[in-house]
Formats: sequence, structure tokens, C-alpha cells
Amino acid sequence: MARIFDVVEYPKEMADEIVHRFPESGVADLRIGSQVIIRESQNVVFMRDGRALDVLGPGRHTITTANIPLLVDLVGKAFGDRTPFTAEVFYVSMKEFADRKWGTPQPIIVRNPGMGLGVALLQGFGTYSFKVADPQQFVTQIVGAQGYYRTSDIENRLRTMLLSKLQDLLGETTASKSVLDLIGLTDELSAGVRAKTQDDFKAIGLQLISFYIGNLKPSDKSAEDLRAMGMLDMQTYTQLQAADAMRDAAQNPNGGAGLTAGIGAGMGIGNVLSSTLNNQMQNGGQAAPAANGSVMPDVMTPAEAATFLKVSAEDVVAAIEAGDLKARKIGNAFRISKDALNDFLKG
Amino acid sequence: MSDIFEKVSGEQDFIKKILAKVPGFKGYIERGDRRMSDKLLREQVANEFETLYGRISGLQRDLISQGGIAYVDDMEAAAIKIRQFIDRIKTASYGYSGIFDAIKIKEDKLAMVYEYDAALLGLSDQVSSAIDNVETSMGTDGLDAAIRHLVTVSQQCVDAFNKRSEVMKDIAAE
Repeated sequence: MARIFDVVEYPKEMADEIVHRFPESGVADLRIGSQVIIRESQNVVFMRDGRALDVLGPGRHTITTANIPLLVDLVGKAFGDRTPFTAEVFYVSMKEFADRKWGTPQPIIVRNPGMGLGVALLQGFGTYSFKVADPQQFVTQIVGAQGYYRTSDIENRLRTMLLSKLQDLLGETTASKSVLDLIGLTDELSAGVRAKTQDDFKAIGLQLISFYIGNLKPSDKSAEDLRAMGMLDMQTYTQLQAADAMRDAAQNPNGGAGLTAGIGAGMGIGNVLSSTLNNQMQNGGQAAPAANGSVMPDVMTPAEAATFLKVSAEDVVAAIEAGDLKARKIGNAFRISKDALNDFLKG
Repeated sequence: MSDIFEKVSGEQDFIKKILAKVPGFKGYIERGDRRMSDKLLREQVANEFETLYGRISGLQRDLISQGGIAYVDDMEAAAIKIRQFIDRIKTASYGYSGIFDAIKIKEDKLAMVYEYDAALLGLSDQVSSAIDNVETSMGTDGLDAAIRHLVTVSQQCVDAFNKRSEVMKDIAAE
């Protein structure tokens, strides 16, 4: 039997798909009287002659186009066997896209007056959820004429919006609260970001349903990173390096410089460490020369070796674990001899 | 609100009109129209509350800019309840029973659900008034109490919706 009406339905779950166009490519010639079935979690944007005419809700709808069955075939002959009355539908998932991840790719710099370096570097991660609030706006403004549109196509933009608001909010909050106070304000910050981002999401036809901060903590940026960011003068840098060496000497096998820089910069422990170190340096302590790099001691920690190699301590540990650099493991700590380091450099 | 029902029943498409001529289907079509008009009504209620939800977010932004971030979380409690109410009323049961089910929900019973949903619209005035109260209390000692009142009123909306299922159960039990 010749085709008279169409039944358009998209029963897929649309797990990560926000919009699905019917047809996926080309032009459709949906006939007048064709049925569009829409599920409870969907809306349809009906396009005719290139215009987004309406949004159809859940249920069964009868399409109205100029494509009158049988007659359209005759009309189509004059247009190279294609209909001049195009119509297509965009299925839009109205469900909540939950548990989307966000995180800070770079630490957020906030003021921390009277503590440590006077600034803190904060890093965090968490989840958010969103849904389409205005299908017609979203389809016409964001999706265009694509066959389908997935969450991954827009998540980068959403995350950028969220992080920008988080940064703004942290800046505003730390103007009157210390970084330590932020720990007790996680829920408030989460709600604040949600409230501040509403309009940005609305501008592209979306709605931010929830925003949760899973963790917000001082960054584990090393003293090297901080110096590269121009946040440390030479004296502070030397002190932080020495503190790392001390900590390494105590027991940490990884030798990362994060503890001093992260907690020191964020929480003000740097002050305590620096005064302690100053005392040690005045008393002829051993850590300072190693950190300054003037004399290579016979036995070194990964952090001290890293100073001479001008790489991160993590890279030194990685070289040890790969067997490229010889070292002794005492308890949980690695110790590297001067000769082993020279052999390593010779290759 | 009967205008919504009249509009829905007046805009029957040709397939519905054909089905309405089939013996036994007329009542089914009418019930379907009532459910559709109830759905439209519920969407109208949800849209009213969407506006209120947006106002709460706006007040939260004001609180942040005025250094009152500690209150943002309290306001969020109200926002979440309003969100819950909106989502639930949008996805509420239609009051459906199959043609051959033992319990059948007739047109007049569906009208009761419709009336109940129409009454939910009145709750938006109470929430709106509570939001006004928070707005005028900003920067005063009464802000705490105003926010608490808003949370309470928002909870009442959720409670009222929960009773909707009881109304439908009563209908089914009759």
C-alpha cells in the first residue's frame, strides 16, 4: 500500500542525547495528518519551512503541513521529486541530566590576608545536574540543524560557566571570610553557585538543577609551580623548598612538594615553617645547603636530587621505580647516592 | 478552569473524532480530554512556581552580594522544596485506569482531581507573599524568621501535593 501518513516516534532512552532530529539528515516530507508520538520525558520542536513553529508536549500530535498525501507526489514532480513543504521534528529530552562532573583544572587564587603567602590556591571537584528548560530556544540557539546533540557537546561550556561563578563567589566570600571559614560554608557556596548560574543557563534554554561541591581544598601545587606562577619571591621559595626537603627526610617516599606549598600557601602553616627554618639556617642546619643547590651531598632525598636535576621530585621517584636511577629504600623513604645520580646523568 | 477542558475537547483531531464514533470509545475520549486538560493545568501551576523559584534564586544572589552568604543555604532549603513541588506536579499521575480494569475512574471523578490541581494554583500566592516578606526583611533582624516562614510554606506545597495521591486513592476506593 502506498505511503499516506507517517508515524514519527523516538522511543530510545536518550541517555546522553539531549536532542535527536527526525530525520537525522536531509529534509523530511512529513505529510499532513502524520502522527508524532512523544513520550513523557520528551518534548518536540516542530519545524516547518525552516521555522521553529511550536513545542509539542507528551502525547500524540497530528502534524499539519502542506504535504497533502498523494497530491504531494504530484507537486513533487515539479520540484525534482522532492517536496517544497519541508517539515522536521527535533526530539528534546526533558529529563534531568544528573551526576555530571566538574573540577578545577587550574587552582583558583583567592585572598587569604594575614595567613601564609596572603593568598590561597584552592582546588575542588563535585557534581551538577541540568535539564532543558526551553526546548525551542535550546534547539534554535544551540543545536541548529545537527542530527543529534549530546551532553558532551555542551559540557565544556557549562563547566566553564560554573567555574567562573565559583571563582567569582570565592572571591566575594574571601573578601570577608578567611579560607579556613570556607570549610564550614561548603553548602552555602554550592547553593550560591547554583543561584548565580541560573541566568547563564537560562540564556541558552537550560536550567541548572543542582550544584554540589564534593571537595574544596588548598591546592597541592609545588613550590616550583608557585614560583612559575610568579607567586613566590626567592626567599619564600627557598624556605618552602627546604621545608619540603625536611618533610621528605622525615619519611615521605614520594617526595612531593605539595604539602608545604598547598597547606602552607592555603592555611598559613608556611609562616610557622619559615620561622622554624630561619632558626635552623641560623644554627647551621643541613637542609638549606641541599635545597640551595650549592653543594651536592653524598646522600640525598628524592626532593634534594630533584633540585639538582631541576625536575619534580615525582619524576625522580618515577625514575627510581622504573629502575633508571639507583636508590636505596629505607622504610618508606628513598635515599640516592651522589654516585648514583652522576651515573644516571651519564646515561 | 473549565475553559481549558473546553479548549482541549474542541480541538480534537480527526483520529479522535473517528474514534469517538466507535461505540464505547466516546467516554474513553472524554476521559482522555479531561486528563489532557488536567495536564495543561498542572503545567500552568508548574510555570507559576517556576517564576517563584527564579525569584528565590534572585534573592540568593542579592544575599551573596550583600555579604549574607550564611543565609543562602537556608534559602536553598526553600528552593529545593519548590523544585520538588514543580517536578512532582509536572510528572503527576493522570488518574488513569484501563478500559477493562476492575476499578474505573469516571469523568466526574477526574473532575475532582482537576479541581484539586486547580486549588494547588492558589498556593503560589502564599509562596509569593512569603518571598515578598524575605525581600523586605533583607538586612534586618527579621530575615531569619522570614526565611523560616518561606521554608515552611514551601513544605506545605509539597505536603499538599502528597495529599493528591490520597484524593485519587479515595476516588478509586469509592
